[in-house]
Amino acid sequence: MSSELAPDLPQVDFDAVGPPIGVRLPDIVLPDQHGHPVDFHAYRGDRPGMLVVHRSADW
Amino acid sequence: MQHSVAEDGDTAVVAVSYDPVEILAEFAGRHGITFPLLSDVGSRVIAELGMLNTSIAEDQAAWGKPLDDRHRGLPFPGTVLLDGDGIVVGKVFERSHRVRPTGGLLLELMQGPLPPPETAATLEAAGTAVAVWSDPNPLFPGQVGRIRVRLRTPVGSHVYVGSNPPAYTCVSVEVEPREGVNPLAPMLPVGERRRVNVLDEEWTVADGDVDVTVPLFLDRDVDTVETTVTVRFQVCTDHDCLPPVSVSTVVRLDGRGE
Repeated sequence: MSSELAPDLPQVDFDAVGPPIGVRLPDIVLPDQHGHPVDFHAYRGDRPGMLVVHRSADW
Repeated sequence: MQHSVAEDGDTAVVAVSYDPVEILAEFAGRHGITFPLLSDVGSRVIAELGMLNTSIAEDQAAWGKPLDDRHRGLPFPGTVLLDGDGIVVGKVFERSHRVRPTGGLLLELMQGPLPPPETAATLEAAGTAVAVWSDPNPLFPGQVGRIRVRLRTPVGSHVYVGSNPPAYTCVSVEVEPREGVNPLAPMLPVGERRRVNVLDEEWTVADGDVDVTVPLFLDRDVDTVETTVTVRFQVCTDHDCLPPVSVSTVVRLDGRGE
């Protein structure tokens, strides 16, 4: 990215960030916006899945 | 968030952040979000999945901004894609929440390269069909959109890619920068080393469908922008080379306006 858009920043190896490709995503069970626990794989069933990781809904 | 991809197909979408349930409830209500927003207070899952933002202290320092409590447990923003068996088939992580992949990129990570849409510009030179198109989604500031180019070489022919002696013209794609639209380095095919001519020389070549992607970073809101895309390449068989050719077309990029 050019210097107009961002200062020089340290390199990050993004291939190493997040779960490895080719491996089953570990089970995730977390409460949703209604406070109900959601098991991602159970919710997904046999559908493809998309896990969107975001900074915050608050700022 | 990529609502459109979720609604296009039968994909289970969840989002995760370190926000408490009450914050997510308010956010979901305000934006009409019906898919699960998962609350990972304390960032345990974010850490276990290796998604913690490990460069935030350096990034904040580089921007001249302080660190505060909100940066504790912060993830790198990204998307992880699973197949129907729950296997990770693709992922995109970014340094900044300001940068987002397009729905088109995520779809291709899940489904493999998509063919050119009917609306693609189709050109021809040296017997080679050249399709040029852009991601269909309206682009938001901070998104990395894409110009896509696919060359289809004639049977028995190849093009040169990567670094070859200057006597051969390797595939290149140039996108004219426009206000707010910043082309980044093109993603070129790796090709393969092959002995290709009677001189018994080995070069890096590609044949069949040869795909090039030029990422575009949108740094402000734009309405509709037209930009010129120029593709250069040289087609050869094992015995003969055609002269290098250059084809250009105008591609329309749709911003969300404002």
